[in-house]
Amino acid sequence: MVAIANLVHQQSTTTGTSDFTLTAMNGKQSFNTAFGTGGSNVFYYFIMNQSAAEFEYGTGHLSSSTVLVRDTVIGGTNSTSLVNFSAGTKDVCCDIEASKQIINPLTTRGDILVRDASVAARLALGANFKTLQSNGTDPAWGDAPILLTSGNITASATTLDIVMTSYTAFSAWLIIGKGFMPTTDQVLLYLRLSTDGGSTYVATNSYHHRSRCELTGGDASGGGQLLAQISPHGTNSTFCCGNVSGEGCDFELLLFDPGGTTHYTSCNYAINTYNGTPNMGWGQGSGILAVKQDIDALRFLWSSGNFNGSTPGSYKIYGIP
Amino acid sequence: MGATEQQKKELREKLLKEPPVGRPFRHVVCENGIEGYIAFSDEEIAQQAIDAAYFEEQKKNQPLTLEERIAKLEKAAGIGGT
Repeated sequence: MVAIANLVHQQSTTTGTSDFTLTAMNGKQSFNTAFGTGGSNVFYYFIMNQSAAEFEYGTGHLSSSTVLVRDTVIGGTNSTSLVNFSAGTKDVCCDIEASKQIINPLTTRGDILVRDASVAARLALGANFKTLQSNGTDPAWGDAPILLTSGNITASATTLDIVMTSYTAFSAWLIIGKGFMPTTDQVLLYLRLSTDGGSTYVATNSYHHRSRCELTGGDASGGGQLLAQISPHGTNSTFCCGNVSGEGCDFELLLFDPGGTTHYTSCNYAINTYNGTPNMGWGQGSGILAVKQDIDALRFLWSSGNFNGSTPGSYKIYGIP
Repeated sequence: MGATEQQKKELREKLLKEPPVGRPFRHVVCENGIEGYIAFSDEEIAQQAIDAAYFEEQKKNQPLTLEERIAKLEKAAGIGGT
């Protein structure tokens, strides 16, 4: 990258197109002090003849402490070729040519500097939760799944409550649970929903649930029961989650249109449980909350007991635009 | 009906910085990185016990597994194991 430095100014009486011999100016920084010697196209230079209408700018380097080599001419009175300087004192400075300089277009907090067809321009901050994408020509704000919240469950918590009041505009939430584990052996994981930002959670027969699950032995059972909550583990007690080290469950749960108020909120999910043997079970199902209100908080809990005291699990929640 | 600013404020004011000792608690995650804990009330602890009892009762009334259904049918038909 071509370098620049402040207050670099020397003079020269060299003529022609050859390398320039530089002399120091009192109180000014020399090229050698600023950039040293060697290399090529090390710094920007600007040469002006005090006695003639001649100037040149480009990138160069020093072959010795006082000799300027004009590597690449960017512009001047001989276009992009070396100027054949006539007699007279020349001022030699370090300056960036105008086309390389940016007039700051940023005006507002969050602005991003981009280049439009010809010059630097500002891209105003996108709306909340928008992501920076490309429209094939320029950067542009657009919609994409985004991580809303994530974390580890606190050991021995009875419930994990996640307030989602700022995220109800998304068309769906994708909830990833990893290593959820109870304190009590053989219990089911439940999901309950809130319509008042987590002040209360609906825990009545307003939930409906359908599921199927398969265990290591290959047996299966159907859902169809009315539960007091959505139960990713189904209703089969043999598909419960264990509490021994190495046991637990992972799941993905997609909850649709949490901000909708014209129909019931529904979700579907897939869940794996495993123990240390290792044996595993698989479950898949759907649930609804038969309440036509926006959902703005989630609660995970076990059918009995707390989250595990040492490895309770972790979660990530993504918003799907 | 979404949460009002007042409800959000009240919820956050309830949050404890550390889990309460010797009492069931909720791990509450609010927006903007705010996290905390709320101890269960006596009523909630009682309800938790009721829920656990209900679950245990439900476990006793589970539908039969496929193997159990087949075994039952075989037994009714006079075939299969004892």
